[in-house]
Amino acid sequence: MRSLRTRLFVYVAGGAALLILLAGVGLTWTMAAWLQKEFDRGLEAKARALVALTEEEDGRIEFDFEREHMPEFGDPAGPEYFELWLADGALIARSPSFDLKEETRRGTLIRTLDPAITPEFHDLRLPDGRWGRQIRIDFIPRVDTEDAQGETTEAPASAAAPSSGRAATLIVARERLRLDADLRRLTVGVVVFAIAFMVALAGLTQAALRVGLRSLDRLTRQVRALDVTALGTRVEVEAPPREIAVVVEQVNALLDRLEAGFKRERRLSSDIAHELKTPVAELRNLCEVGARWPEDRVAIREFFQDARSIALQMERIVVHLLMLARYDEGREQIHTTRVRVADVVEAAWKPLARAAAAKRLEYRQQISPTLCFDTDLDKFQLMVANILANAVAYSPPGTTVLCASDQTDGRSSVSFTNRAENLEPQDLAVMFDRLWRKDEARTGGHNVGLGLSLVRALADLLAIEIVTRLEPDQTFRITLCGPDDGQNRNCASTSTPQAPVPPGKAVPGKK
Amino acid sequence: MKILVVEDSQRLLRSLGQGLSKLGYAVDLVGDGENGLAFAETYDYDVIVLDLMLPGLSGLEVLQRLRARGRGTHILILSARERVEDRVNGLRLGADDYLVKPFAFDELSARIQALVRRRYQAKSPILRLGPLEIDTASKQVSRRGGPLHLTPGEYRLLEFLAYQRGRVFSQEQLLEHLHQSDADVSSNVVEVLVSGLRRKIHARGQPPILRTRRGFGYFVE
Repeated sequence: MRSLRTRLFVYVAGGAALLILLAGVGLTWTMAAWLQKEFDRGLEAKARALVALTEEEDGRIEFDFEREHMPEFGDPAGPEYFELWLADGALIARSPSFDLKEETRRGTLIRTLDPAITPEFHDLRLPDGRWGRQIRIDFIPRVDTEDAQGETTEAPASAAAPSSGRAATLIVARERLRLDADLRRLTVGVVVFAIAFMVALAGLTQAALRVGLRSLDRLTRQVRALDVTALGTRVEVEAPPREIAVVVEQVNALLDRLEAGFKRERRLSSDIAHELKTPVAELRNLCEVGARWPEDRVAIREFFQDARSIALQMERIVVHLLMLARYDEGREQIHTTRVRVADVVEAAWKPLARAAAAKRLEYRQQISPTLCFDTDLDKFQLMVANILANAVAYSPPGTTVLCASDQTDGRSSVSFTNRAENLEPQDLAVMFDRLWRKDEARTGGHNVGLGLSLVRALADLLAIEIVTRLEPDQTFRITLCGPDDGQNRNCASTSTPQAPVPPGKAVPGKK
Repeated sequence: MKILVVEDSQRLLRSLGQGLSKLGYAVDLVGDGENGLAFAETYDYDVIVLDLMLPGLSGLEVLQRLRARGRGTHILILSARERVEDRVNGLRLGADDYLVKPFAFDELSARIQALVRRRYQAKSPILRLGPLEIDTASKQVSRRGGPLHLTPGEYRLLEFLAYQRGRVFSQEQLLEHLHQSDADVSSNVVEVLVSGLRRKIHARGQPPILRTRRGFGYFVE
């Protein structure tokens, strides 16, 4: 797997190196061109000076060269060369430097005598074997004439017309060792600078990446250390950059959800274990004790009664778990009819009235007789029955259970209010979880913690919104917001609940 | 031997009480943690069988409070929690044994028996009192190989005194240890048990095993 740091390093340092390379090549090329141009300019100046020494007088081409004025053409250490030719190929003059060595006497600088309009520059091997550079100028020597007053006037060398028209060609050459040395120094300097720059750039890039990716490194270390045994751990990066902050935030949010999910799973496993293992333990113990002392008829009779109630309890659990499974699959049929809410609530309360009376609970129903939901009657009734069963089971004796309807923002709802002494605000978030019970000891086998799970599953199925609220005075309210657009419907033709809540005979509740 | 069972399942509590009573234990049954703690602090139990998930006060809290107050009663935790961490935690907090639900009644009774033996530092389930041999596992008493037919009450009395031979117990102490704490029994019961037991275990010409120290109580040598 390629490292982000390596990739960034390659891209940044490689890109910068490429730029430096291009800049170095450009600089070298430009400087070399400039140096050569300067060299050529000097060469041309010298050639022009020699051209100026050439004149035509009385039909003769005279070249007024004096060695002492231009000693470079005879300097044995670094001689320069020139040759002056006429267009017909006759050599007019040649620099004394040609005489320095016998073997160069026969050599000439010029190879062709094609006329050139503008000065031409060429590289060449000098007669002494060194590399040099030459300029060739084709020109018409100026004419030296005397005017009437006896003064000498000169026509321009380039003006060919007044002369005899004899064109001349001047070749001037000089060694280019210094130029080449300068060019080499320039190239080496640029290369050395480029290498030094790239080394420095690599170091700086590494340092910048180290500093810039520090947050990412911390994040990586912390994320790598995460595992399922430490889900409480959160990623903390000090002053994270914007890009990392988003990742940190999302990772922590994910961990929150993961931790909550694991907690829920653990709790569910533990709850299932308790809800099933305790009755199994009871059954097993009843059987073993009964089998060991079968002569105790009274005890055996009690054991059978206990065994029956255990079977019923387990049946309730299984029935409700299967119902939840069916609802989860989403294959449950929904038969929507117009349901008068007041009738459903009233019908659901009837089987609970005796238990409520035993606890001296006051029941108040303030539901508008016109409030109707378009929903599945049986399932809605099951929801209401479970909610009311919870209210009866967990309300302190002598308190009130209130059922009321409301219409807010054009949306109809029915709420169920009762006192819940031990409920805490954080319980509202988990009270619909399967097998959740406020009583962690899970004492008693009637309420197993599936009632509100059923309510939630049914609400999802019927598109009914559930809102829960716990007031500071421990008043708990659960509100069902209607499945339709909230309009109080005309209840002229409604389905009437026939029988109160039948799921597995008993309705488990929880809080 | 006296046992306290703290368990919130009433059905399990009832059947455990029946079974353990049949095995000759005096059993107190309590359904919640607070009462369990109160009973454990009030009476001297040989073994406490303690559920963990209890209403009011959890089993672990009961355990911690008992140990914090210096109560050394042997405690067997009986719980549906089967994870290693739960078992380790229970034992680390001072429990002497841990049994996961569902369980075999025989295993529970064997573990209780083992804890009783540990309390009285007896390795063997066989107790010997002169010619008498008491098998605490099968709850049978024999004299020179011949079985003696004791009632459960007589057996409980003999086993209790045999485990603490040499120590004198008053009628009240014996009454408390041999019966449920809330049982309505008179002190005459002890005299009746002692009398019946003496008839069955003493042999002519042999020194008495169950003896009386006047003004103090009964003991065995």
